[in-house]
Order: sequence, then C-alpha cells, then structure tokens
Amino acid sequence: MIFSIWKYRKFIWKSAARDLWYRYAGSSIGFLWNVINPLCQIMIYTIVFSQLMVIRIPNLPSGFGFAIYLCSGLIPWLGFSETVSRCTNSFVENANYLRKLAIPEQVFVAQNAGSSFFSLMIGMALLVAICFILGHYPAWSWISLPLVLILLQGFGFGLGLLFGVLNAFFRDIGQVVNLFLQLWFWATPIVYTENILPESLKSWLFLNPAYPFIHSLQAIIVDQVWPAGNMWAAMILLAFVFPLLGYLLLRKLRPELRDVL
Amino acid sequence: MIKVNGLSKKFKIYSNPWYRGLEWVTFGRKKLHQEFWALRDISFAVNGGECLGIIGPNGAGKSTLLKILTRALYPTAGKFEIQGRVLSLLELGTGFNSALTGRQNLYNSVHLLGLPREYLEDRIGDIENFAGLGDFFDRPVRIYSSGMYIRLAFSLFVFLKPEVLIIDETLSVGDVFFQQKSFAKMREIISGGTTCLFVSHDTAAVQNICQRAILLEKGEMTFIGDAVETVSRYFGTIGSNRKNRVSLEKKDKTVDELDDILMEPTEIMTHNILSGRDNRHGTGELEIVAARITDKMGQDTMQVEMLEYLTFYLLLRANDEIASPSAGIHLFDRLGNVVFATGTRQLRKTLPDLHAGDEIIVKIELKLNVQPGEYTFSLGTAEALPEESPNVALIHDRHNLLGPIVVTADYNELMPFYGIAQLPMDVEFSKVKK
Repeated sequence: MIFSIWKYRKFIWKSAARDLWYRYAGSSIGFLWNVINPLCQIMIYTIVFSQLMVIRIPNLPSGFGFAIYLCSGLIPWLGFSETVSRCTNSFVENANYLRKLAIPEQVFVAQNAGSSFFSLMIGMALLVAICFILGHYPAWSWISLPLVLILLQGFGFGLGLLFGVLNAFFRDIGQVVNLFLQLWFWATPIVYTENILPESLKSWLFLNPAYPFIHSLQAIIVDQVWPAGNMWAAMILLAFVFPLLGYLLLRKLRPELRDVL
Repeated sequence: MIKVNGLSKKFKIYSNPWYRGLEWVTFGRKKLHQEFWALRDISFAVNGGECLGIIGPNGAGKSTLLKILTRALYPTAGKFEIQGRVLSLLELGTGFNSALTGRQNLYNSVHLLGLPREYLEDRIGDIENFAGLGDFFDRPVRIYSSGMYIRLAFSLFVFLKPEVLIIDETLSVGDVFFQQKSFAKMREIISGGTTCLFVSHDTAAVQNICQRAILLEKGEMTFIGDAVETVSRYFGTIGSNRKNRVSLEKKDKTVDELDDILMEPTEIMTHNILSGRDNRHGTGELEIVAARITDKMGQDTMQVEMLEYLTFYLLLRANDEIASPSAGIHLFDRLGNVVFATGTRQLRKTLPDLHAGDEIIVKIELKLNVQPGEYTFSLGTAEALPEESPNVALIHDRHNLLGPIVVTADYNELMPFYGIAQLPMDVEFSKVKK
C-alpha cells in the first residue's frame, strides 16, 4: 500500500492541491472560501458557546478564553470528520477512473485525505492567528502539534478506507457515516468541557477513539503541556491499526470492488 | 507481448445490494446472487509488432477483456502476462480536467499514468504538432469539441511510445484527415515493435490494420485466425443469431423438387422468421402469416455472398375480398437508406383476386447485388387503388425491421463492383487495327 501511494505521490499531491483550488471554481473569490468557511463556523460556535452560554475555562483569560478551548478541539475535528466522510465516498466518487484505469484503489482515498489535510492546515493557521489576537502565545509544547495532527489524519484515513470499501458495496454506508460523525462530535468533549460530564459518563470516555486526539490537542494548545504517555500510545495505535484494517479489507474485496462501481 | 491463458470473468448479480452482506455473514453458505459470465476461458497470444483485432457483437465481452488487460478489472480465473508498459485508449481522456488547458492536462495525465514528468517534457513539442490544435492547445479543455478532445488524447498516447497499445472504438471520432493520420501513426508504431490490441466494430479497419483477429460471442472466443476470415465469420454469426440454420436433409433434390417441398404452408410455418406483433402495421385484410428465407440450396439463412440469391417464401391469407393484391419487399442499409424496394405489382406479375379465407404462397428471388454488410428489410402486402396514382397503394400488412441480412464477400478476391449497388453494365471492345 505504501509503495503504490509513493508511486502516485505526485498525482495525489497535485490533485489534492487542485481540489482545494477548484472546489470553489467559478466563484469570484475562489480560494478565499477555503478560509472564510471555517472562519464562519468558528465564529458561530464561539459566539454561541462563549457569549450566549458562558463557560469558564481555567488557565485562560476570561471572555474569549473559551474560544481558544473550542477552536483547539473544533478545528482538528472538522478536518478529521471531513477526512472520514470524503474518504468514505472516494471510490464511489472516482468510479469513472476506477472503471477504466489501473490506478490502485487506495490512491484515491489518499488523495481525499490529502485534500482534507490541506484544509485542516488552513484551519490550524486560523487557530494560531486567533490565539495571537486573543493574547494566548505559543509555547514549546506546540511543536508536537504537527505529529498529533498527522496521527489524527492517519486514523481518519484508515476509517475512511474501511468505510469507503464498504460504501462501494452498500451505498447506505455513506449516509450512515455522516450521521454517525454528528453523534460522534457531540459524544466528544469539544464544545463542552470534560468536567461538566457526570462521573459515570467520564469513565467511559476512553472508549471514544477520537478522545485521545482531541484531548491531547486541547492539552497542547490550552494548557501548553505535552500529551501524556498513554495518550501517545493510544494515538499511535489507532493511527496504525485502522489503516491496516482498511487495507486488509480492501485486499480481501479488491477483486469485486471495481465490479460494483 | 501479450499472453492470455484461460481468462474468465464472472460478475455476481444481486437483486438487492445487501444480499451480498447476507452472504458474507453466512460465509457464503447461502447463495443469493446470479452468476453472469462475461468471459469464459479466453486464451491467445500476441507478439511484438503484431496487431490483434477483437470483434464481436455488443455484449460479447470485448470491453471486459480490455479492462482486465489494462488491470482495471480483476479476472475471476485464468492468467495473463503483458511485457512492457501498457497504454489503453480506453482511458482516453478520462483523466482530463475540464478547467485545465490541453498542455496542463497532458502533464496531469502523465502523473495519472505514474510516469515521470521528464518523459513528457521531451515529447511535448511533437505532441503539440501532431494534435494540430493550434491556439486551443493552451486553452481549457472545457471549450474543446469532442473531436479535439480525442485528438489531444490520441496524440499523447502515440507519443508515449507504449510497448503495448490497447485501442478501443474511440478512434473513429476525429475527422477523416485526423483518422488517416492516426492510422498511419498506428501502423508506424506497430512496425516499430509495439504490440497492439484493436477493438472495433469497424470491420474494414480491423482487416486493414490487423493480421489476425479473434471473434468473441457471449463471452466465448469462437474463432481466432486471419483477420479477413474472422470478419467474414463475424458477419456469419449475425446471420445465424436466429434459429434458422436448420439444414434440409434432402440436399440432392433438384431445385424444382425443392420448390415443391418449400412451397408447402406447413414448411413455411415451421421455419417462420416473423416474430409476431412488433414493428407491424396495416389494415390486416391481406395478412402475411409466415415467411421463410433460404439460400439457393434450400437452407434457411439470412447470410449470402454478394451477387448470390436469397429466396423469400411468403404465406399470405386473405381476411376479406382482395382485388389485385401485391406482395413486396424493402431493403435498408446500415444507415437506414432504402436501397431497393419493389413488389409483385411493380414487376407486372399480377396475383389472383382473393376471397376471404384464401391462402397464397408467393416466392420472391432476390439477387443481392449490393456491397457487403448488414441490411434490414421489411415485407408487406398491399392492394392497388385504381382511382389513385399507380404508385399509391393501400397497405394491408407490413412487417418492419426484419433481418439482418448479411451480405459477405471475400476481400482477397477482386470485387465485382464498388459502391452501394451494382447497376447493369455491359462492356464491348474491339482492338483498333494499326
């Protein structure tokens, strides 16, 4: 899998970049929409949760402090959920190519993951800008950010590959995944903080595979500390196990996959 | 070089996609799909510098075979081996992005094929020249005509100098000048050692470029051999699609004796080629009950060599009083033009007046002095309308879209004529004395 993705790296890179560039083709400010869209989403959540439903976060300046907590979880989540939902559709979306070309299937998943990664990068740039504006300056712990984000994307790629293969056979999966992502979003402490959860629920959080990623990101950005060892272990495990599972499923079903597209 | 050994492809057809999931959870113990064999046990080999044609009717498995060879589909059974880089015109333009210019798309396609950029950089000038798109080369593909699209894609493919080239129908899109250029280029790269597979309905092109060809029918390879022979067999299969290859045991009878047998209503009924109510119109007063078509030996067929006869036996039944009835035939070519139409009335052969319940058998002998190819025909009955112009008649029963009649020819022999049909022509000469 790694080899074929490496061989098609230029295609993946180019088409991912082009996808970002042309997603809003025909609109007069084109590329800028890639920035405006997440910015608006952040603003809506921030206003609703920090001004209308006020929650106080320790270690952060009051008022817009919650905005930083929110963004540190929300922006990576938006990137992650975009990765999962787009990768789930990647075979169906590229059926035209897959029916005719010998390109390995996983290349298209990687292309979607790459394109979502670009938008995640834009989101992170916005996050850093917001932190500066609100007077929350970077610390050394932020160096680990790229690594955590890459692991998060690896996990998303794996899930997307898994669902993508299934979605080719059962088209309902795509819809189910989108619904599931919404539930998952609210089941993860992103717009609310962990400590508002009752103890009984809190102890179940470790079962949420998105939790180690989101929790680590919040720790790095908000508390400016390095993620704990068990968090690293969980993230690395998830980022390797899911792509492997996805690949094994793809290898098993590959002969029939293109027949159904 | 291409070597194909026992290649088969099975598609599973599920009436509900979730039945597949049900099969998975029962570990295949429950079988809920229908099998469809698109290809069965295909074996052949093509050497470098050779072009193999693949012909066959729609749905014969030609595209499936190509897709497997380009590795876009996985075979169910069998193996194939291809030496060298494969390029397939099946993929022609699939990678094109309409927002990019022709030039940008070429680079993009090269990435899509997993080739390095430098590969194209050395050739881009030649490609631009060959495609002959002028200023359009640097304009978005979105504004290209379909012909320009194909030109761009084809130009890229031939200049990538593939070791194996797979060509589908698509080539016939460009204008005639570009086609001529393309065929010349194809011959050039084949003679340069490229192995080529050529799939087309254009049998003339297959005979022209390919030395050998294979004939696919319903997923099976029914013939492999000389391209000319394969094409003529292909036309043969179209003729034998109907169940009309029943040979007459009484072969040694004379033609007159044959006629006695063939002019029997029951004989015509049992070998009837009329299928029923489809494509039929008319008042129904003089009905064509059955029709049979044979060659001059009395064998049921719709395949005939050019300049040979087909005999049509029509069994007519009058459901009313009919004065001066007529029966006739229309012959249409591939493009739907009426090649020839006539009837008993036009030939001044007057059929007797009929009473209700009378039956009559009409025998029409038609000499196919037309170019080789496929034709459809219609059979009809009519009654003259004396008060109208002689060329107007009341149609009683007409069966349309019958056939196809397949006219074959041996392309190795001198053709008796060229063009749509043979017109009567005589030649006389005398040598001038010095």
